[in-house]
Amino acid sequence: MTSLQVLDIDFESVCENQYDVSLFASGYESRCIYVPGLLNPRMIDNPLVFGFTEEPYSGNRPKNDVFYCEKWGCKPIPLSGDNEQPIYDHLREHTQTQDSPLHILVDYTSMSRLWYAAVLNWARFAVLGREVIIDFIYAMGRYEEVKRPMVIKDMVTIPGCEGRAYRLRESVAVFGLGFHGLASLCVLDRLEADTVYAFLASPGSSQEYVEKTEKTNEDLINNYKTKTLLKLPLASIEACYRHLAETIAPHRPDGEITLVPMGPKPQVLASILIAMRFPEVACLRVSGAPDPLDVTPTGDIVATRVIVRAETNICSCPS
Amino acid sequence: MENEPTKHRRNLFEIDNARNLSMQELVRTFIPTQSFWRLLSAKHHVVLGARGQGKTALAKMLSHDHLALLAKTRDEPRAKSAIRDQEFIGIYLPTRLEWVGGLRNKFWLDEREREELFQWRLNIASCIAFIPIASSCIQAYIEGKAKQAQTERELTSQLSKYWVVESGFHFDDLLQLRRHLENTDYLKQIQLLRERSAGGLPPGEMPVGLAFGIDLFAPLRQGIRQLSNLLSIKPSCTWLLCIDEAEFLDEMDHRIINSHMRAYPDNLFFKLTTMPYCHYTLATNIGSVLVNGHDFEYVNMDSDRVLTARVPGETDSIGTAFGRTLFKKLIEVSDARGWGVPTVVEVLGETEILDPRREAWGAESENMTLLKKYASSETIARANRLIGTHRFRDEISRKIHGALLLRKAVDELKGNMALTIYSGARMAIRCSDDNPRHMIRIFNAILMALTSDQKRQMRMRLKKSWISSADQTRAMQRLSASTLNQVMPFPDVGPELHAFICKLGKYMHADFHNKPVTTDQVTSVTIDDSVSEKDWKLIRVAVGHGLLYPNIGTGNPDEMPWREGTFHLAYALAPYFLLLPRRGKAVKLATIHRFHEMSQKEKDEAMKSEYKQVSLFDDGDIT
Repeated sequence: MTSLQVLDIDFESVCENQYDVSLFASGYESRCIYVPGLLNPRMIDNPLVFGFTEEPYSGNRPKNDVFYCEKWGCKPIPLSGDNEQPIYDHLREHTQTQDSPLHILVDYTSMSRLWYAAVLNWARFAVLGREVIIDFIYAMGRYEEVKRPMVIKDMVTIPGCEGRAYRLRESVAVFGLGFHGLASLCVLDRLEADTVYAFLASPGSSQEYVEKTEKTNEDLINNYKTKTLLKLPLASIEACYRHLAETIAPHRPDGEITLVPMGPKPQVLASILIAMRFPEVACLRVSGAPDPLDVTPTGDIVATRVIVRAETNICSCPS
Repeated sequence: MENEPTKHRRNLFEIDNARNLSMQELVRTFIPTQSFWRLLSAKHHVVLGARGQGKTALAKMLSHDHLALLAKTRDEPRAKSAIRDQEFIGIYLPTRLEWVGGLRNKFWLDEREREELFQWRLNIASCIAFIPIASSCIQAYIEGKAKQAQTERELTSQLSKYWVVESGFHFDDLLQLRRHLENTDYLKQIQLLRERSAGGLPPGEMPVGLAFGIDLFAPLRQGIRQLSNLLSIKPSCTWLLCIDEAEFLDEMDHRIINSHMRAYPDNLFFKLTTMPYCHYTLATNIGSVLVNGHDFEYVNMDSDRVLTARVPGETDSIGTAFGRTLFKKLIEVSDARGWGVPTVVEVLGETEILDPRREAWGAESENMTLLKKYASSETIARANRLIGTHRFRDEISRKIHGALLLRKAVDELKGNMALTIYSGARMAIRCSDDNPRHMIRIFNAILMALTSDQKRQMRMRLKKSWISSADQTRAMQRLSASTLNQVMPFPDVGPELHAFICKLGKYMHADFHNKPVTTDQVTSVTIDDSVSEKDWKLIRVAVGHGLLYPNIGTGNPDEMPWREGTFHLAYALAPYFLLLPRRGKAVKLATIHRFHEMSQKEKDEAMKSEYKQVSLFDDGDIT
């Protein structure tokens, strides 16, 4: 069995902590070096930086690469946003000799969700009988105006979040709302759920974004299938996790529940954690064609601690 | 079922997908089509239908539990004999996005591993799908509760021997076994991920669900044999495996299923439902190609005559009998206490521009004034020649009246005035393109416009046409715009497809609203072999999503056109582009492309009118 504990923490405590491994990302957003710029490299034994192979010269990417080389002494490891194998390999390499609880820091501000889901999967499945403490850090951002609607590239479940795709009761879709309302409607049309819940980040990184999200997703919010619109604070993954768990509770264990987080990453992380916590819940990754718009940091940081304890090999347990 | 208490009923106007209907709801609202009865046969079929066309309803209704309820509660002799005489036993197997997502997210598997995983998952999924059918057969063919329970225990025990080779498990009934299989599928996913994240499995750990790592459908066949022996099912019984939503599968998956259709000549037949142009290959893994008409047959649902049949006594098929019956069934089965059962015409009223009627066409009549104002000189001359003869109605008034009224309504639209023309029962049914899901969405969108006072009037049957024409038109236009806008994020082709459909719609709008009116309006586009790969791909996707419909001849209604033919713009888009939702003439796609490459001056020239010149789309939008 694997237990997951989700706690909001202060960024100050993160700065004071000593970590075995950290994972950072280098991409085109200027905010992706905001948190690494505030941390002391001495507090991290093995810093790892992964650089997106997609759009390798766009936006602030060259500048960000230089920052990692200069401050952290790390040249970004090239990695596609659609691959996560090197993350497993590096985690194995840097943690295999220790017995005490592992402390990992993940700055997922500009990461592919496949990457930070991989860190969680590694803690769930590759580290048996040992506690893994993962501190997830996210720098809130100010977005350039989205000019083009999202064109969906793929819709697949996040590995480790497949759920049980054989329902006995109704199908439920829980949408995390972002700035791409039409894409959410398109996914809803394909999922063909009979009950829909929606949630958005409120308070979010600004009131303007809350209003924009509501406006962009008007059709989904007013859809006759949508039962409730939840407003969950962006700054608290703990609260988001708890509310999502309460929302889906009436539909468990026989409903087929699919989470579709299309909004800010802290709410994506909360959705992934829910799907990892409840085997009957799936979490869908809706990816779009790259649209390299810059996101600058607002200065606010969301810090979350996830404690993973994987006690036994779950594949050997009778149902 | 007949005594189902009203308080437990749901509003079925809010459920536009058969997937989300209970068995009782689906059986009570199901309208058997020609395609449905064709599928009750010992043949492999690939069922083609646009999204929302009713493929899932068909596939679910073929399954034994649904068909048995249909036989029991409705006067359907064919269903009764199929169940009573054990002619067919259907199994419903959905391959939904969520299920396929668990296959496609294993991007690290090579082709052979991916194929093995697909077979493993299809094996376990077909066994999970078999379990409720086994229960249904036990109820249908074994007398008495005690004997049924005993048979179920025996079957559970036998199936467990074949399907659960791991030790330490015991199941009392089929539901427990089903839950175990679901859990096995989940554990398989987890095991694959553990193997990847930890760099391998611990020594001695066996792969999960070994019983399903064998030939495709071998575990299902074993289940069928066990059940047939226990229930003494007739050897002549045909088993139907209805694999729904195959458009979500990959080409390789289709090839595997094709191979099975080609290679196994026993009593298990496949009914594969998918969108038009989404049976991705005819190839197999056994060196030969699947031959349409020999190894399998296509069934094109879009050309089903039950969907398009006219109401007895009416002169055209615009307000189809199917649409009216569906509305009636939804009202009957829904939570509509006190409504009585009003007809769709009573609720939505008549449609001014589509209803057949005898209009006044005297020399000073309003219709004649409109004809003189908007029609081409040729049409006016022909009308003058025929006026007073019976040919005038067939050749002029019936064909042009709606177009004249639409032109006038749009011409006179100013400021905050509301358009009222897209309203009425026939309009609602017509703009659904005979697509049940779209029809339910239209009905629901319009019914949602009812105020509480209107609902009260409706309950008391105080008057007819409770929802105003303006409210109906607003709802129809909103839905029409939303249908078009939802194209934008479509995978791979979204923006191109949106632009393509807009191109067609804007051309038709320009042709209709800027040229003199004739008895035949442009509503279709023709292509030939010279069509570009890009356009042909867009047309295929548009057909799959019900944005374009091929004009299919009666000679071979199941064959989808390939790189040539005529396609009409979905009537669902008529309220957005302000078009008349009637079948009209076609123009070449190349003509439409050329038109959009013209300067504004050239466009004006091309649309030269006898009575006015207008600029096209100055504001970049239509509505």
